[in-house]
Amino acid sequence: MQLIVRIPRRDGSVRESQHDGAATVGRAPANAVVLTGLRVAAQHLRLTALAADRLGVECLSSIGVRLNDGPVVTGAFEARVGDHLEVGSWRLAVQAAESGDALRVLATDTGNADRLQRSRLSLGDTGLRMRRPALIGAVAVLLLALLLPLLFRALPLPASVARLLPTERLWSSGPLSHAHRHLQDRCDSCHDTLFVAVRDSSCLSCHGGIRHHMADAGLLKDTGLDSSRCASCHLEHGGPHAVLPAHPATCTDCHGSETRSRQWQLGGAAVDFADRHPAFRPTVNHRDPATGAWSEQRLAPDAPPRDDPGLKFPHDLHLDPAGIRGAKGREVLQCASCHAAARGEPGFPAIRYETHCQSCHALKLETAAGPLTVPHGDLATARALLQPAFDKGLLARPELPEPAARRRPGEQAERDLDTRAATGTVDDLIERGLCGSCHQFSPRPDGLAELIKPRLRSSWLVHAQFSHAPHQWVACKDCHGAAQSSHAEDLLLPPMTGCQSCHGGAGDDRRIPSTCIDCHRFHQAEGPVMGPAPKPAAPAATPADAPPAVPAEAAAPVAAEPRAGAGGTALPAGGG
Amino acid sequence: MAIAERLRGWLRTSRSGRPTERLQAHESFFTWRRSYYLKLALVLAAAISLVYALHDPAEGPSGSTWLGYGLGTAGAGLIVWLSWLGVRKRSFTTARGPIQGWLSAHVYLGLLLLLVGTLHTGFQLGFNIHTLAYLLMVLVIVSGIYGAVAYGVLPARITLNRKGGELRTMLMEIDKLNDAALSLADRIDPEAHAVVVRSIAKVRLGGSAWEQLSGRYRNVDDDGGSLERFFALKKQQFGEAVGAARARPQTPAPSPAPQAASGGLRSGTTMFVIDHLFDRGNDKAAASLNKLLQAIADRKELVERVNADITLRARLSVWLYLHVPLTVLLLVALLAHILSVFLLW
Repeated sequence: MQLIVRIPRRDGSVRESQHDGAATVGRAPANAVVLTGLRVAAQHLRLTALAADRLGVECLSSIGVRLNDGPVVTGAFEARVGDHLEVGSWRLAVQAAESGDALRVLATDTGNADRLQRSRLSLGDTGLRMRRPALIGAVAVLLLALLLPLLFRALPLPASVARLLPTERLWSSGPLSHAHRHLQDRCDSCHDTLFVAVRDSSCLSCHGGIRHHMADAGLLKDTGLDSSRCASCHLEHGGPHAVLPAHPATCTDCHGSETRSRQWQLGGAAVDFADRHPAFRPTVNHRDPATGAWSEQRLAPDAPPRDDPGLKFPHDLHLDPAGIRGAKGREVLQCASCHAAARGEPGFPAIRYETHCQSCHALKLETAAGPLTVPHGDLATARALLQPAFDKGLLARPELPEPAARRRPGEQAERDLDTRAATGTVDDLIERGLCGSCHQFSPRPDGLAELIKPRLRSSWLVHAQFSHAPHQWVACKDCHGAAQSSHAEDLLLPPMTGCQSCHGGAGDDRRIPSTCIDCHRFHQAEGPVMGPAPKPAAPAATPADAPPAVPAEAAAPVAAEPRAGAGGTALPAGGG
Repeated sequence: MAIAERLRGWLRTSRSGRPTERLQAHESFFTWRRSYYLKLALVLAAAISLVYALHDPAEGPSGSTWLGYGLGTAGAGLIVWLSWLGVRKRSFTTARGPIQGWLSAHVYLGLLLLLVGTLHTGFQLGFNIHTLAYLLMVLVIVSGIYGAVAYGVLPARITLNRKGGELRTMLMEIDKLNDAALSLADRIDPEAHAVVVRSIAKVRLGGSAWEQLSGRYRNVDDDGGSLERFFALKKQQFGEAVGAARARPQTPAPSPAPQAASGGLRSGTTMFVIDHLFDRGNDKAAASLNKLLQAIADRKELVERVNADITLRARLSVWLYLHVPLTVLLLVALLAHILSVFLLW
């Protein structure tokens, strides 16, 4: 087996030597193959052609040789065709020769003996790259954050699958409010069209029938409210309660202006509940004594707080700490004896004779012929029942109440006393004793007295909404001076300063920060239904033919009688 | 307003500077034109912070208020401009204005971007593309801060380490010392030659990215002290030979073979060998051995300096391997962020 060694010279020629079987390689001239360079030992290797594809390598020096860029090897081993050895700066490539009984070795001087040892002199040499990771990352971000979500939006994927995929949820700018959280996987339930801001129709598909701020279309137009979107005020993706526009600016943009509040005949500019808020102007019932007509009025800020219930009811007498004569002897009444909310009730139930008064004020008379009971709420029948007994003299003449018995400290303590002269008829009994203890009477042209039907309000601040529920831990007397009130006409609402002792403005740190929507609502019952204007052909939904309005202050107890003229207050909520 | 006037004056002096002064000394990009861009960035940062503090939007601070959109637009503009600046400041041939100016603007306006971007978020972060873009921006800026600090600190250390030379000359010097060592070893005997060749083959410059960055290289030089052990043995042989030739019974017995090397070649053992050889007279082989030891010691010192140079350069450039790809990612994420905002408006 022949060993052919080829060494290309610098001038392009090739020195070729043929050896029978084996050849020594080294720096010394005595070697069969002489390789220059101080890194080659005098006698470095012995190469033996074992077969046409196998080369025997025997290291004669302890310097050793590197096989195929591997570690340095000493001793004897076999190399195959295609392998290469490194000796000093020389590279010996094992090649197949043209003839079958020979093996060729091509020896080239690379001139660089330390190639492998110096291959990583900078970070760039170690394989760190900038462009490739940038490209891969950019494509990944583009795919995961933009293209795949777009694709998945178009596909009808089941929610369980979509949850595992990069869907358009990745575009969400923040968590939805609790009310809308169930929609968080279905962006298109609000964002129905790409590149189009959420339309009111999306909101109204669930919140249909919601009403606008006021009935006056011209005012809606003037204030720009007719063109504002739901999302102008109701901003989503801001956390659990962000969808409720709690920021005062939502309201004070308009209502903070003194000029506008004058223009709109409101109580004054509302900027902050603690600092600038119009005085409370309660809505009360008023009965014209001359005509007997009832009307609903808003009290002027400086007017005495009076509401006409058409009843006689001294709170102070009933709340006497020493007790009051009851059906079963003396009993001490509490506020809750009459004003008690049942479990699940939105407010206090309306005061009814049967429930709240009858146990003490039973319409039962003792006559010489036995007890006589008359019905409540039916004066004609009562009169008819009483007249015969009165005529027979079975009934005692009414004892006019002693002024001293009712007198309590106060200016008008004697106002309730009937100073009219007795008529000597059964009416004396009715007007002064039996019914007149609680009811007021007005004269009629026919000479008979007419019982004034009471009107008990349940809400006086009709432009705000107040609920006793969150205030149930506060003692009644902290807000209501009932124990000092001797007249049913006394309006026992606390003044605004009373509220302000606990409730501060939106940014208050020492009191409960209270914003506009804690008491007021934007959407008013008298406003037109929101949404796109109905087509002319369809019957227009106007306040007049709209179903009976649910009062904004629904949380307050229901009035004992329907509030007159609910649609009469067309102006936006002002000073409560 | 007096304050505004003073502020304008302050900025103006920075902008104009004094040309003669600038030409005289090297001007760092940190303080380019009396820190014009630093002052500009500080003024803008103060203004933005003030507006943000006074701004009280109905929906709370977020990217969708007028200030949020404003900051977002400014931030997106800054990102694109800074990215372009990063490309621009490298093109020395066509760059308009001095490189330091570009770099100064890049650094200080890049820092300003951190504030602009953060306030744009309104601190509303979550698992979404918007926060991804913000995080990428923060990473790019943080890596940039590292880069700026590294550019401020490391070049001086590199110069100091190179002792006036260049990496290329240091590598050539190593080659020269290797050749000298080989030639000297060849004069001693084949065994010494083989040992030196093996030693050279084991000298490794640089290494993996982690080795380069940490500065702890494996197999820097020598094979666990074999070179030293070998020369200790040689020294002993020479000692015995010289001792026998002089036939001086009173000559102290040659020192016992030194303990296995624990230090470098410049350690006590090596110096002991060299000193000992000098004591033994001017034997030719001993002189060669002496020179050989010196060459190997010099090489070892040089290898360490080259590796220190590689480490310093690696630490100087490593941030770019984050800064540049992350900037590309940021640009794509920014596009996705802006598009997605308007896709689901």
